[in-house]
Amino acid sequence: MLIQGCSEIKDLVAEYLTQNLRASLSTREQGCTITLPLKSLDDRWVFVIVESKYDYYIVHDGGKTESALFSQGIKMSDSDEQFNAAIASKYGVKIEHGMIQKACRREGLCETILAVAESAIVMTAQLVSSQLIEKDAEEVHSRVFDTLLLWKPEDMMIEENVKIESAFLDTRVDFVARAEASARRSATIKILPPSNPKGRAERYGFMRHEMKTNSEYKDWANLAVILGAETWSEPALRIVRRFADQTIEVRNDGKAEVEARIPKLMNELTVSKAADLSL
Amino acid sequence: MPEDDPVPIAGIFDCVPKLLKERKWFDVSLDTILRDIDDGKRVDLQTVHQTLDETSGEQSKLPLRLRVSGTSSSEEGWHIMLLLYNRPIDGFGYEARFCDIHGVEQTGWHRHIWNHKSQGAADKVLASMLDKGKISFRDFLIRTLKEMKISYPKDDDYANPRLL
Repeated sequence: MLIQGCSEIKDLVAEYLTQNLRASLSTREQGCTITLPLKSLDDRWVFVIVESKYDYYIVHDGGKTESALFSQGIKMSDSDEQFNAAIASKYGVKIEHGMIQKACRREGLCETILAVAESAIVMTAQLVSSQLIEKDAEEVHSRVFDTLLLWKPEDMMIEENVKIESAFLDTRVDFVARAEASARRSATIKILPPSNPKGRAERYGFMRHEMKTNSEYKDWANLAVILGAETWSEPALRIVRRFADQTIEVRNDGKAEVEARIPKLMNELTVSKAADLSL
Repeated sequence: MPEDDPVPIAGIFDCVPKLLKERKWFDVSLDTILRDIDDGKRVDLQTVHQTLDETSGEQSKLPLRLRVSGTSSSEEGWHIMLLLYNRPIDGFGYEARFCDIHGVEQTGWHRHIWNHKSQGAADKVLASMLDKGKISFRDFLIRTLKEMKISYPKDDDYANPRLL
């Protein structure tokens, strides 16, 4: 039977919302857990905790959102945290001590509950495609790190997210395999996601140019991992190939080859020049 | 497969059921984890687990991560997760409302269950061992690590082999 008019639809929605709105005592004293009829992008019913304090309320997510994202493999890098803070700010809430939260008076309680919940839901966009491209790069970053730990010779240290200092502009590489003995040479790995390839290639070229003119970095080898290589323009690829000692050009259907190629390439790159000449 | 290829390209998660039954070792004590949590940090531990590949009969090395997060004052946000190649394979958390693997609505602590078909650990079952009264973050870690067959040093001195 067809639904008759707006008011019947409204009644149906109101009934659904009421049936799916839950309230239970929180694990905290004087706290109430409200579970809303809303799901996050990782398929969780979103809940918020309301704590009564004198003449006002604190509404928060118990740190659940950040914790769930982290446990599912998100790195929670500076850019992830900035992304979350920006979302929270749009909803007029804050992230403090890992919790999405806001204090309010009784008259603003319902709005605040929804703002915290909506903010929590939107933050989980990172899990599906927030920056799907960057998320992809993040996953490759983690896999490369794992591969480096398995590869690591005893006389090398693996460092993550290392700043490369320059007089003009500091940059970062994903990893440095730092030589602790003269028989080895330090090497960096830079992962280049497929968004804005030309800009990335130019910044990469700038970084490599600066490294070559800096006594601290000039002998370091570099491996560039180019993600979604089939989407890069030929000029952008040429810049990276020109400045990197080695490249791994990964097509979207061939991400697994990164792990397969890194150990061999790192062995080649980290042989010191002196050792290389004596062979 | 070349000797220097640590990750089989196909079927990299075939080993998960066997891995979950084996004892894993993370070289960080509970005190260190709790100290980091109290300092507002997220804990991300790595280890390399050696296991026998039953197909090839050779030892294979698996990169594992253990992620612990939350604030000690709010147990609704506590999470512990074991990841292989950065993919969750086992773990525990809290949800006020969730559907378990049988489609039954539940509330409270749950365990993530590996699903070979979806190659993920999004499925959940009720974790009643955590529902016995109010627990501290330390209790949460002790109970979940035991269930996940994860061992750790008893204190920080044991955690650092250079001091032995």
